[in-house]
Amino acid sequence: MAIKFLVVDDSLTMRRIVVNALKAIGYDSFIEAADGKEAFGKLQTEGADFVISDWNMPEMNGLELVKTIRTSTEFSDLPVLMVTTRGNKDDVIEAMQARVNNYIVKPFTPQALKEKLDHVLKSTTLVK
Amino acid sequence: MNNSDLLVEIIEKPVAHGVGMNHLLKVLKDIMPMMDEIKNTVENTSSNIPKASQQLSTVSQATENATIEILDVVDDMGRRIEIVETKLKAIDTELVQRNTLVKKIIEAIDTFSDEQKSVLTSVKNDLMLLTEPSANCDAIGGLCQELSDVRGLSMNIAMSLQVQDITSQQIEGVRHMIESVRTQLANAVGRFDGKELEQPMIDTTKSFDSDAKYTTDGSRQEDADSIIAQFTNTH
Repeated sequence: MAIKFLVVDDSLTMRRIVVNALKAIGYDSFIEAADGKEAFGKLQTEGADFVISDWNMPEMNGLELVKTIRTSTEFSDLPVLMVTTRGNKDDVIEAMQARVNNYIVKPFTPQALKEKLDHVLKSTTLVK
Repeated sequence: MNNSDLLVEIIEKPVAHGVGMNHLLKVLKDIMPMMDEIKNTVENTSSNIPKASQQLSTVSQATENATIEILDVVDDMGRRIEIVETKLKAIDTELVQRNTLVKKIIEAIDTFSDEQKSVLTSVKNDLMLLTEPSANCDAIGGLCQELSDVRGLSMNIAMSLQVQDITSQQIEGVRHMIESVRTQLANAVGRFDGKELEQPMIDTTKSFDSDAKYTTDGSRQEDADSIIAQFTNTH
C-alpha cells in the first residue's frame, strides 16, 4: 500500500525539504497545505494516510490541527508527526497531550524522519 | 538636581522651597524646547522603524526565493545523477550478460572439430580478449557508488536549507520586537500631541517561533525524545 502524506507547513522551503526527504527514503505520494485550515480541508476532500505538520502557522496552527483531527469522527486515528522548531519541554508535552504520534525538532535529517516514521507506522495499521 | 526633578519638587512643595509662580514658569520655559526636541527625535526614530522592518521582510523574502532556486537546482542535479546512475548500472548489467554470452560462444567453439577450430582460431582469440578483465568495465561499480554518494551530498545541501525557515522565523521575531518598540514610541508621541495610534506596520497574523535555533548536533531532538519517552511511560 502506498502511503499518501499530507505535508503541512507555511514555509514553501520546508514543504519542499520534507517532500524531498520523503522521496529519499522511498515514499512517492504527497499532498501539501500551507496551514492547518487548508490541511483539514484537504483531508476532507482529498484524504491522506499520514500527516506531517509544522506547529507555527497562520489561520490554524499545527497544534490546533492535531486537536481538530483528534476530535473529528473521520480522522481521529490518523497518524500525525509534528515537525517544528519548538523544542522546549512544555511544547513537547503540550504536543503529546494533544496526541501527536511523534515529534521532530528542526533541523532534521532524512534518517531522523525515517526513524520516526517507522516508529509511528509500527504502532499503526499502515504498512509501507 | 536637574530641571525635571526641580520641577517635580517645585510643584509638590512650592512654599517649602520658597518659589513662586514666576520661577515655575521659567523652569517650564526652559523645559519646553527640550520636550519638543525629545518629541521630534522620537517621531523621527519612530518613522524610520517601518522602513527597517520592511527591509528585514525583503531580506527574508529574498532568502526564501534564493532557497527555492537552490532547491530547484539540487532537485535537478539529483534527477540527472539518478539518470546517469541508472544508465551505468544498466551498462554494467549488459556487460556482464555479454561476457557470459561470449564465454558460451568460446565453449561452443571448443566443441567444434579440429578443422573447424583452426578456421575459428583468430575469432576465438578475439573473443577471449573480450572476456579479459578491463579496468574501465570494473570501474563502473565504483562510479555508481560515487554517483550515489554525490546524490547523498546533494540531499545534504537540500536539508541544510532548513536554515532559511529557521532564520526567517528569527527575523519575524525581530520584526515583532521592532513593531513593539514603534508602538510604544508612537504612544509616547501621541501623549504629546493627542494623535491616534497608527495601525501595526507588520502582518500580525504571521506565526513564528522567535526561539527557533539552527543546531545540527542533535541535542534538541535527543531532549525531545527523552521527554516523549517520559511522557509515554507515565500516560
